[in-house]
Amino acid sequence: MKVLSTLALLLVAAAALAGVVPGDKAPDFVLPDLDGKEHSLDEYLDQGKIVVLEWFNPDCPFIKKHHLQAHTMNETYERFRDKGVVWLAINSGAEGKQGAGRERNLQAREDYDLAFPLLLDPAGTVGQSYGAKTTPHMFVIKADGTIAYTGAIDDDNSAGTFGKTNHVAEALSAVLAGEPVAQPETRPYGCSVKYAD
Amino acid sequence: MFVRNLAGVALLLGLCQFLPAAASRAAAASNAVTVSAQVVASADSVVVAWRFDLAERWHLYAPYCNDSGFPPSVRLDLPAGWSAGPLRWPVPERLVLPGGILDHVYHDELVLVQSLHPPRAAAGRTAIPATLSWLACRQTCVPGDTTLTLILPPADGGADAVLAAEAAIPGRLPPASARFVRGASTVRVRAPGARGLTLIPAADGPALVDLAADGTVRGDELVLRLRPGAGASAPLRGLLIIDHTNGARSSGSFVVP
Repeated sequence: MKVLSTLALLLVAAAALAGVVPGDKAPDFVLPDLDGKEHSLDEYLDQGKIVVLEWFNPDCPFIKKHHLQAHTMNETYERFRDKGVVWLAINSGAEGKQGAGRERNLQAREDYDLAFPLLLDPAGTVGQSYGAKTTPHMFVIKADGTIAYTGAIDDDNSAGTFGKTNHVAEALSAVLAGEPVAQPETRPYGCSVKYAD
Repeated sequence: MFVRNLAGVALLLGLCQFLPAAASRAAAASNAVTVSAQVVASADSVVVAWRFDLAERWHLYAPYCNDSGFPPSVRLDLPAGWSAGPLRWPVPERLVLPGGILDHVYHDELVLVQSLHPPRAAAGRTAIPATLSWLACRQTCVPGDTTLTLILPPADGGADAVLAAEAAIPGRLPPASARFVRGASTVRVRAPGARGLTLIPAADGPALVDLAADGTVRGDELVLRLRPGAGASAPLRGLLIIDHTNGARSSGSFVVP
């Protein structure tokens, strides 16, 4: 029975997911936050941190769903922040595209009461190195630098209702317990990342 | 936060029996999307054409393998004894966005076809509320929903529109039109003599290496690379579009076990 349910979950984790996959080495990056402070993935990993990446666009309805209608991201971060987990939101939107630019994101940081840093990647190089497709698109990186989870935040891809399973919370719990992540890959959902043309 | 338009409009009242080839129409609108429904009814079935008219450059999503968005849905509040068939979808187009993001979408208009089945003893006027939900995107994405109420039996013309919508729904791919060969890490599709092929996988299926690169080719052979690992042996379902050398285009659904 468990085999069947696992198979079913794997089938749902479907196609067209270029970029990193679970087990890959996470591409290093250094990106500035809205205050100009640089955040280096390798430095966090050297400190033994587990890193969660959330692709972000403040004007995407799915980001609003998880930051305004509910507070999925902040609440998930708060559950794990004292357990060595760093959460970084990354906006890979190009200048002039929806939700891009420092000013818009400063306002969003305030409106959404973000509990974690928001990094800007207007060239989209970091987003594309991970294969980030949607906002949100979630990645969990173990302290050894390997990808533990990629995909959706939860199992409801609508713009207005919420799933029963928080995939990121499950992945973090497994990583912290030293166990394999039961569902290391799901299909991300949301708006497309607004990369440069 | 969401675009809601609950101004359901029902037009056309009728009498006691379903009339062959009679049709009704209901409509509601939002900025990017205008929604309407046309109905044709016979003695034992009702066929609804759910129509989404899109403002310029906006798109809706098809229920296939996409990197973003989600397809429209229709939630029916059926009276007792009624049942509904699945939504049937026309052939979408590929939309490749910067960053290699691939979606299968509809521009301009989308007409979904759905059969409703009344109970044997159905008679009299019947109202069927339907909530239609969608995500429309252009540079930005806007979710929307609206409620329409179908009034049956329908009483005016419009059957042609429903029949045209049904005619646009792809059927099964004729076995002779293409050959699918599944290997350990690829699915090879060959349609001898084709000028071009486009493969649109279903949303559930094996993980693919790069559908944006592999999903369409000039020529008569297409090779879809499968990602190794668990789930790689899952059946591949989807839609194949064949562009013929004479300029014609045909399409149909397939399953590769």
